[in-house]
Amino acid sequence: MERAAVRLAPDHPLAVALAADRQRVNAQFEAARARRPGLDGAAVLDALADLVGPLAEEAEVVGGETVGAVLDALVPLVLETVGRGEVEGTPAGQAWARALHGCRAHVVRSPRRVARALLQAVRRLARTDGADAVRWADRLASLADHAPTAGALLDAGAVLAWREGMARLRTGALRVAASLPPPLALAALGVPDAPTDALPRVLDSLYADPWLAPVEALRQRSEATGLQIRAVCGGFAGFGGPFVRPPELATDARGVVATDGDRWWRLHADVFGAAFQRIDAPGPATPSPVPMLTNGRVSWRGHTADFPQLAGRPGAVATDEMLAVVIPQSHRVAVIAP
Amino acid sequence: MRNPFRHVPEAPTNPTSAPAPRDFDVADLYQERPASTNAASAAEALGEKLRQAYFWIANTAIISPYYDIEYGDDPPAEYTFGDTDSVLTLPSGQSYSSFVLVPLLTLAVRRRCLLVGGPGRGKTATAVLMGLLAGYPKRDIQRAIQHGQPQMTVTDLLGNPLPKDLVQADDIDEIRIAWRKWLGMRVKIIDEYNRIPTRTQSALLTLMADGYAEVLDQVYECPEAAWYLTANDDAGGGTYAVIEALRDRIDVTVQALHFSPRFLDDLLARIEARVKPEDVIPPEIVFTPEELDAVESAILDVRVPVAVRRRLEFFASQLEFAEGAAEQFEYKTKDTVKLASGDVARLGEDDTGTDRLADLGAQTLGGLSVRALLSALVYVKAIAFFRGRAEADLEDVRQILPFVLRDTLQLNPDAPFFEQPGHAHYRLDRVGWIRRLFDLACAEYDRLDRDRDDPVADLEAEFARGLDGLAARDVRQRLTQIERLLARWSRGRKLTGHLYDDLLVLKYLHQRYTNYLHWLEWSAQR
Repeated sequence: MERAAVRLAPDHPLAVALAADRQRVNAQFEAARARRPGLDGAAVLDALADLVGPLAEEAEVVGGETVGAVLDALVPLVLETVGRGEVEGTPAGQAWARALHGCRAHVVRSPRRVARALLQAVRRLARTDGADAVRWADRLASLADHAPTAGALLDAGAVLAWREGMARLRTGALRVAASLPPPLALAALGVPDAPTDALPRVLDSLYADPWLAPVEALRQRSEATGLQIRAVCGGFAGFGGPFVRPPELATDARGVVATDGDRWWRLHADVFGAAFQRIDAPGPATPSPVPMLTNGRVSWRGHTADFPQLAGRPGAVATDEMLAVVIPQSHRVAVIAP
Repeated sequence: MRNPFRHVPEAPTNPTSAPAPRDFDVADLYQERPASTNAASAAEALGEKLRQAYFWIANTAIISPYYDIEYGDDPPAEYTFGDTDSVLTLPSGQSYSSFVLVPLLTLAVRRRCLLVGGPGRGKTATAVLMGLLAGYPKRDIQRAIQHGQPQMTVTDLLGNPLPKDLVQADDIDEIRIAWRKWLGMRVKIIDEYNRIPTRTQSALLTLMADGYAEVLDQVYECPEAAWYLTANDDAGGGTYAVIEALRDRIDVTVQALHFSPRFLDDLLARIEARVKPEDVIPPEIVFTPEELDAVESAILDVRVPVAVRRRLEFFASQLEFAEGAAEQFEYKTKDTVKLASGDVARLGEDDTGTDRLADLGAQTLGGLSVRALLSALVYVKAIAFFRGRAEADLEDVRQILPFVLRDTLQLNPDAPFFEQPGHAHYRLDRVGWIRRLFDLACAEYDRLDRDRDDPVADLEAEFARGLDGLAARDVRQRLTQIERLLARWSRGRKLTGHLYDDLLVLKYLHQRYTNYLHWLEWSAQR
């Protein structure tokens, strides 16, 4: 192990807490290294200084046994993230560090819950196509001062995660937004300057139309100009997608589902993104409004548009909200909506 | 003129390299660590100081001319005497007296040591010397000794509530306790602990096991300490039976041997010089609290190599297995029999097809507890450090193990082994028996060529490299490997203790790989 330089003054709150708990922290490291023999001690020390040091300073201001509680909560997470190589150079690690520091007032008051929740959130965002975990962390940090509680902050984080492209969070995000203080909810929705009494109207509009952006919901006007491919998702399992065979589409009461013959997925798609979520089995099949598909020309709900890439004999289904089309000669699915 | 009783030779006692310091320490974040060479030399100096303390006690303070912890690179010269073929060995290496060394190691590792032996053999004197080595004045140590007696109460042991508070307090929290001073000391001595009433023993147990004292809901946290308990007879001859849990908390037991009359001239010299060893302890062998912390830390840094650990594992695996104890594989242990108030010795007599003379497990009524194994590892490290080694070797295990297991490993007096010619004395000589048991386990280990042929160890090593990034195909391959091994071993092999433990390890590995494979498949589906 490279010997780390002394990073903290002996009277730094983290140094004081570590000195009081030195044996236990060292033992936690040894136990973690037994599980991950490559665990780098110097990297752990750096992560403790960089991630936990500023939190300990904040915790000291709060007083009581807060510094110890921060140490208890963060040491296992630091060992876990360093062990998984997440701290240095990964979007998740970078985002977690920014979120921890940006939200430190909440982290030190509820370290176990908030630090773990932030880590799980950035990990999921890092795995989501199109999502930017670092941007999410920065946006969350900008909301931290407006959140009255850690719970409110994490709920705002769910709204932000939905805006980052996690379409499956849409319903939950809109529900928690309704329970947040209006300025916080509107800021999380990306319309911070909206009047607070506009929140119910904005949320109602977003509930009603998944393709409406919050700013459009505020103006009560969609900027859509006809059918367009809103998202392309799915893909071959060999290239990181979900399907081992080109999928077949169907609909049930909750929307569009897909199968590759063995397994099933649900399609979540809205204005912020689209993704498949694995499910055990779909609900009972529901009749799907039949779109017109002829040589790449799509006619649906009074709109018509040409999509040459869909020419052929693609499988397609529709719901009230979207048209899902399997792109010919591929394992990918195009999501079309006005 | 130099006082011969205070003389500590300057010559190195056993020069070798010191253990390497640990490579991870959170203290590196806030304090400079001495350069590794300095740390190594500091550990070396402390090891040397420990050895000087040993030799001063063994040669000057406690007249203990017995070298029953024997080391040597070459086979010792042996001489046989008497009709019973008693063997005297002359070890070729530096050897030690257990009655001095084991208490000294206890001081270094801050564990719990029981000194047993007849009256006037120096048990209490040795414990007092340990207190003096820890830097306490003689008067403080002597006053801190808790003398076990049948009327001893919990408050005698721990402290009394202040009478004024007892009268005036409105709430129990307002009653302050005058805690006994000895509770805060880093060396604790309980003389004749088997004369303490059972209820007071329970208070002592809390103190020894959990490190705190409690009276009227008030709690006193004690510092880590080296404990010395003495007993004239540790086999049930005290006024009160020692509660099992308290006995189990004792890490090591050592016997005070008789005084050799040939050394009467040393006693005479002391009388004529009007000297008591405890009054003339040389200051250069007295440890500060910081030095004792550093010694313990250096001891824990001593490595126990895999080859040594494997033999200890193999030895321990012989002892717990009881084939007829249960149907479920995991419960085929002596623990199962004891929990059901069964008779382990009788169960062992059932014909299971194994040779009861060769089966080492037949010699015991129980296996080793985790606590006993932890104590064994700590003392193995301690004796290796004392010898100036960075790494423990097999002889360290062989020499120290009997003192750790003396009171915890229960002997089965009905075992055929003890009926063999020349083996009857092992029923009485626990140290000799345990050492012999370990030797027999090592001989079996060698016969099986376990150093080179240990497929379970190979599988464990493979597993220890971690599951991260392991592909499903590789996991299936390893599962097949485990199943093939189980199938091969199931054909015609007698079920022995070590095989039983190996099979349980294989089942464990199989389960871990199975769970991981499920997770991989589940992840692939998401």
